[in-house]
Amino acid sequence: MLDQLARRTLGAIATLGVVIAAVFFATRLSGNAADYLLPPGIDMQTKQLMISQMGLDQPLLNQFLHYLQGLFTGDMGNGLYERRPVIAIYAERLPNTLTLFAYALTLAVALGLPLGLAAALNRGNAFGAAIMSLAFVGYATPNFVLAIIMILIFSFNLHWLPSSGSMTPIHFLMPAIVLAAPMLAEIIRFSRNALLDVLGQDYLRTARAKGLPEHLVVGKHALRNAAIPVVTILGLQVAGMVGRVVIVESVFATKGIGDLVVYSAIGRDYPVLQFGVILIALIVVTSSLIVDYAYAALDPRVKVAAS
Amino acid sequence: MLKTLLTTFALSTMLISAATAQSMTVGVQNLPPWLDPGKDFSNNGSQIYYNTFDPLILKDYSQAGATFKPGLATAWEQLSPTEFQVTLREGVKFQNGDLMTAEDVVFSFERVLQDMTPEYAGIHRQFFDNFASVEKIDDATVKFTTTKPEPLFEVLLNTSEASIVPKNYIAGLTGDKATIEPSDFDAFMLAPVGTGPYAISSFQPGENLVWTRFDGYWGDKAALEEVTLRRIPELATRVTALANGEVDLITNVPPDQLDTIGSNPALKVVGNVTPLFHVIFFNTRNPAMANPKLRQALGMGIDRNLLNEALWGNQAKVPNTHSYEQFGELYDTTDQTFEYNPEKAKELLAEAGYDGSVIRFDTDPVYYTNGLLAAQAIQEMWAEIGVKAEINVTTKWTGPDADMMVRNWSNPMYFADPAGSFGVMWSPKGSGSEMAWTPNEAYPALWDKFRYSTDLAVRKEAYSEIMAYVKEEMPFVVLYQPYESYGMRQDVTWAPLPGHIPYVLDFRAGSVTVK
Repeated sequence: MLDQLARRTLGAIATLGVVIAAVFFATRLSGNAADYLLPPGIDMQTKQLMISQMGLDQPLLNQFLHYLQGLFTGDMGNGLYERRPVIAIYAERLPNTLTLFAYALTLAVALGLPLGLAAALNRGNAFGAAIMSLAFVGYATPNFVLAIIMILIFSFNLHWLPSSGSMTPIHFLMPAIVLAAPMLAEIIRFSRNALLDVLGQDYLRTARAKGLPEHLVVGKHALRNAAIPVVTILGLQVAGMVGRVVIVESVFATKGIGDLVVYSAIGRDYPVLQFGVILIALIVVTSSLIVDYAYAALDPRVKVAAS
Repeated sequence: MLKTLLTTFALSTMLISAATAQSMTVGVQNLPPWLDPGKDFSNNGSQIYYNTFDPLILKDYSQAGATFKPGLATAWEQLSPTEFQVTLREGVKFQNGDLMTAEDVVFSFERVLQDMTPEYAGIHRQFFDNFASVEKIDDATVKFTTTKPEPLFEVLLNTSEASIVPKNYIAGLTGDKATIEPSDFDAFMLAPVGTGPYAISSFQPGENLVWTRFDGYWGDKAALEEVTLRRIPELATRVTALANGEVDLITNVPPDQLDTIGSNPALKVVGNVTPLFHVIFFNTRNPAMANPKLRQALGMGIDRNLLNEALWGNQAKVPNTHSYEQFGELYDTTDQTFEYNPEKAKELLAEAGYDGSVIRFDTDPVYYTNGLLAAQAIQEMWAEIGVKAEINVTTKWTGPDADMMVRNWSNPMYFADPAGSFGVMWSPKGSGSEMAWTPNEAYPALWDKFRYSTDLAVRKEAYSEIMAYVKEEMPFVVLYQPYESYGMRQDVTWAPLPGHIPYVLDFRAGSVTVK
């Protein structure tokens, strides 16, 4: 009998399979690439030649088979605009997006957990209320608004930070903060609530009653049990971050895959768009899978319940 | 503490860009996905080629008229109406060190004339349709032969599409080092080499490009040691990057941002009227738009001066006909092809039997500066004369669609002759005619008389006749020549030169200084 994790893993693979097929047909349904990527006013003869050079005059089924074959051989084709391998285009851009993700995740977790903890322990006083107000503001502010406010303050007025680009680590600071903001807010709220929930449990009273010092009560017994909802949130937030990175990268002109996917969607650059969507699906599916495995590591009951 | 740290950090990053006055960073709205002057007439590409490539014949770009100057050819002579011979400059080096030879010149044209890729075939049709052959006479002489008499040898050999590229370098890029394969052209697009004053030392398609001064350049050495182009698509980000000192110059500043930049004492705005027309054109093959009187009425219903005042602060230029100052002797100032006359428009509508049905006006949301706003204003102007229009905003190029009715477009000047602007779109085989207009049987002969006559007076007269026919048929309406603005730091001295085609970023000697 399959256990929970094996089923999850198979589910993840099936999801990817559906994405791979759906993205091919969805991109084709969205319009003919030739109507978008050739300069307005190109003559018909050149247009026809270009269409056949790009293989877009082939029957859809042939194109699909070619695409599937490419997936297995690692040949994802050439970008219709840049005429170079899609893999090479992403290889140039993926590091920037991953750097941005890493900064944002680190920022959100490193600040969110202590702040959530502090808010739980200081509930009812001004300090706790201040943290929670901040979290609500962070949660409610649309990221493009936050991005533009930050650019106005730190670049336009104070000249402290570069407004755009991805040349040095400092260029990633503002985009990472904007990307992290809603996640930070969520982590603060959820870790506070989870901790409050756990703090009222009987086993904590027992722990205190047997004379454990307070830092061990909170740090060992409470935090570990409060961690499960927080891990769930992290998993969901990675998916959310993929959505937000599209906006963040285009506002800050970060040369990452979000920016690339937007432009390939507008320009109907099928090969680039396809690979981008598959890559994003892969990131989301993998992070959900990691969350599933993390549950099992944190809470032995997950495994037991499954089998 | 944090503040000091951040300031130091920020200053150190900023100083990098402003460290040497011999370098400059430009924030551009768009960068091309590939580079090859022989394949490309796009606005994106036009920004780049002039710094890296030379054509055989150059010209004085500081003025609108055509004063040709020696480029890679030191002398030229028209042997007969169909033959043109050039003498090549000696000792010209490509940026990779190769010496330019007559073989390179012949090859540069043959790749286009022999349609070696679909894009070359397109340039062949649009620019060099009349060219029959190019041959090497001796090491320093190359001869061009055309099918019909050619009045435009100098103009055509001056185009960016006629830039000279290194044959051996291209052949050696992929596969067999000695033969030209299609993959060689693909590889060249990512690592282009020319004879111009700046070598492209780094190119990430659509992202950034670095020009480095080419010390082996045959002419005056480049003005700057290094120029970096960075694509910053968002306008607000581009303006901020300029205000923040991250870039020294930005392109594509729309009229509503001129004050934001102009009011900053460290910055300034420079611009010019571009040799490019924003137009609207009708699908005359759509039964709803087939009546020329309806099209004339729609043309007369547009108050172009009001558009200029409201959208461009009167900085754009509203022409009477399809003609640019850059045409020199052929600049047409007398024809009145397009005019505003709402009363006459109403009469024409009645004569055309317009029944009040809705006319669909297609526009891209952002492609043309002020394009959507102009469409909305025209919608209101047409309502004044009793025409109902609805605006269809789409990023799709609907030009060739059978159900297209009206849409906006631009007619750039690809080379400084009516053939290089009006002709590319509206000659019998032009892309506009191909999409949306079927001229009468007499038109091809009239066009040929204009295009291939070597007598200037005949050409002038023929062009007037063509404009009279356009006035009658009204397949399109020229709105205006937009005013293109650039924002830059006060210590940068640069301006777009009137002798260029639109969007050229000319950083050659004498064109730019950075203090």
